[in-house]
Amino acid sequence: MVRTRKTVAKTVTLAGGRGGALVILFALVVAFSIATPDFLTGANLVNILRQYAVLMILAVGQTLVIVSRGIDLSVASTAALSGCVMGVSFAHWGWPEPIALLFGLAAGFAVGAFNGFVITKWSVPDFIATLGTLVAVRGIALLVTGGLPVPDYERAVEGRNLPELVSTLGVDSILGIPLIACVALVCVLIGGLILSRTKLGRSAYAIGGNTEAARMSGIKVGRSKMWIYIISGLLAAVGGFMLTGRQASANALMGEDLELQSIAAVVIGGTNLFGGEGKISGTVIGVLIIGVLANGLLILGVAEFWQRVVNGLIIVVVVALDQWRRRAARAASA
Amino acid sequence: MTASSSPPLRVEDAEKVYPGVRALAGVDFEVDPGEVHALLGENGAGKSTLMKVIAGAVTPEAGRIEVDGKEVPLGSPEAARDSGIGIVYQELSLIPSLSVGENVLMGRWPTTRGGLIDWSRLFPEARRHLERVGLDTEPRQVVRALGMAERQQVEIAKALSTDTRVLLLDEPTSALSDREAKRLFQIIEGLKDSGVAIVYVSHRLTEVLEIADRITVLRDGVRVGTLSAEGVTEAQLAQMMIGRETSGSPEEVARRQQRPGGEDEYVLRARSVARLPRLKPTDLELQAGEIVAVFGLVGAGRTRLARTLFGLEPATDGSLELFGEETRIDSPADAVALGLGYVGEDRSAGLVPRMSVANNITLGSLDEITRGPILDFALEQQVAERYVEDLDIRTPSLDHLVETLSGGNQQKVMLARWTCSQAKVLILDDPTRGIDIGAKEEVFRLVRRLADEGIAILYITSEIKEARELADRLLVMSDGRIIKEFEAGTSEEEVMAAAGGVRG
Repeated sequence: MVRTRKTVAKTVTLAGGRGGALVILFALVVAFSIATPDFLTGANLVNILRQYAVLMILAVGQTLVIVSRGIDLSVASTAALSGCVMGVSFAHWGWPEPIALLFGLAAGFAVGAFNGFVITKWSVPDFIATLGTLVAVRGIALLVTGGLPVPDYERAVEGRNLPELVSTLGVDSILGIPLIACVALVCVLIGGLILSRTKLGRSAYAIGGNTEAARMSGIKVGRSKMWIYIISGLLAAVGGFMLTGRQASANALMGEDLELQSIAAVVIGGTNLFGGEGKISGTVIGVLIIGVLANGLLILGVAEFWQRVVNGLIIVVVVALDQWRRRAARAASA
Repeated sequence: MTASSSPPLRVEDAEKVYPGVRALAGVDFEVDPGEVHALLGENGAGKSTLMKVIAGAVTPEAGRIEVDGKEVPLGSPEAARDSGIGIVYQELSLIPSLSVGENVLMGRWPTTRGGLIDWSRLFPEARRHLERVGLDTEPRQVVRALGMAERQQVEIAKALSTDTRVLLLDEPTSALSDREAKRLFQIIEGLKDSGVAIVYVSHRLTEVLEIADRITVLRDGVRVGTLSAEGVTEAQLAQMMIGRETSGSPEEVARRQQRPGGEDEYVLRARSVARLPRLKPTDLELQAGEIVAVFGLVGAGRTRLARTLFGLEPATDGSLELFGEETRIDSPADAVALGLGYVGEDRSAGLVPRMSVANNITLGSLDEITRGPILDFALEQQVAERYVEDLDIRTPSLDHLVETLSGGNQQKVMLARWTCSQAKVLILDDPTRGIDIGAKEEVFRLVRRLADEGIAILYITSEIKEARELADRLLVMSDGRIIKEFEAGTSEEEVMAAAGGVRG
């Protein structure tokens, strides 16, 4: 009796979360490969990597935040702002390349620090605080760019376009692999290292799993959350650079919807939306599911409007499945 | 009063098992019409579980409940309510932002034919229910504006509004002042006269003797006895609640005698530490290797004292000396850094349930297992394994989720966390609450051993037996302050009398 219950619990656990996501990803790849010969080609797979690298970078930061029972709605806006200030300071103001890049990163840091400050010091709920910055930061980006694409050739300093590093990483490939995907991989590795092997990462799990327990064991909850939002802001800045490089231009409205996609990717990858559980590897799978699905539907000629419908429903279905899995697992182990 | 053959409430053979504890072991319980029947027992005796079983909030493994001779389906709050059982929990369940009237008729608001709430019927109806409990508050008033006593009256009115035959009151005076308690007793008398049977759960002897007609005493999930309140003394009841006198093992007595008495090695010295209004200025001294028990009834401020010392609710006043140096503790992080550890009465508050045993043990000493910026997993496993062995934590593996462990073993994980962090002062707040007898003994042994290793222990408890069994010194709290200090070996009755205070 007890044994069967345990087996049930185990099966149910395997069927959901990260394992379940991997199964879904595999099924999608198989299905699209059968449906169309154009899906499983080197060129198309590289295309997916190129297109979803930015989402991957943002989703890494989002994973850290969600594991610690937060949410960061401002990642896409922050990416846009960082790309814009980097572009404007380099092309329009004629700043040296390293300084312009640092300035872009500083913008990401600042938004993250602001989020962390408002959440921990003023006790504004994570959702509300970052919803505020989601809107306000877009506004700042519009102010910085005057609503025009960057670089704007009338305002640019002579001969200035985008920093060399940004265009190279955004566009070029090495041995057929896009560099932008390599940047995403580096972000994944760093994020994974932070989450699984540092004090900050462990604190994130503890805070997400039981904030009161984390506090009682001497973890500085406020400071940890602050750093997690800053890391999310910095990753968003890197994502903004890559987005700018890929499309050879920055603008204040770029990357819209990426915040929701990043949350979707994290949750699809098996991370508990209410904190305490989750892995970067799951998020990687989650991003790939979103990418493969959108790409496959596009190749099959499904209209983009429908893709939105499918994307939205997938989030709901995956989370519903996950909740069902958790309930079943709990019932089986009780 | 009609002489009916079936009582308003009869519980037969109620049985409830929680992991590791038998909360109710075949309890029979019966209430007569128009009587106040008190359920008395120490914390963990099973009073609240029995209440919840009767109210349908908890499904028992076995048993039978009848109201007026009719069987009530088990484990259904709706069924219990429909058969005439009303309950007022210790934590009130009113919605502060809604009006008194809406709360009284919660979920059963009269509606117009169009489906809208019919306010012209709601408020007068609510007023009728409020009058039964002698509350003349305007039903349109928002609950938030009311004091604790009035809120409780609203809660009682709510429980009575469904044609209630049996009213269950769980520790109803725990948040009331003496005067408010008196007022509550008058209300109870009034209800009794109107034919409602009342079950009154409490562990306060004086109050039970004052209000109850009959008393049932529970201990460790078993009914010790039911007797008429007439002619019973507090001492008799205390004896029934506590059970047989235990005087401690010979080694135990020897250990106490060995302890250096007058040595002035204070590790912690608090001077008029306060967090007003609940914790009044308090002095406290702890010596290395000493177990000091703090005993008090619910609401005496014991937990407040613990939480204040550990920085969970930082002191607003007073000074603190640790290891001979003046310091401040404004957060648990400060406390941990200074060598304090805390195990709360609620294990689930201290553990991260879905983290492994090993991760929970090292949570208070992450710096020690970090090499550069990176956690050293191998070292972590080693450290955790040492404490799992040392404290005899029974877990299938270090990587098992801590939530799968039994209560006693979870509590040992908490102790392991603080031995791992090399804490020199441990604050234990009712650490054996809700764990079974065997595990309790084990926790006691561990606590003694930690003390022998030189750790100062502040042991907060609501069980007098524990306090006497463990402590070198015994402090009694009441009304937010330490009112008396006893040496080890003082009789239970004497301590209980001090803790109960004299109710005016």
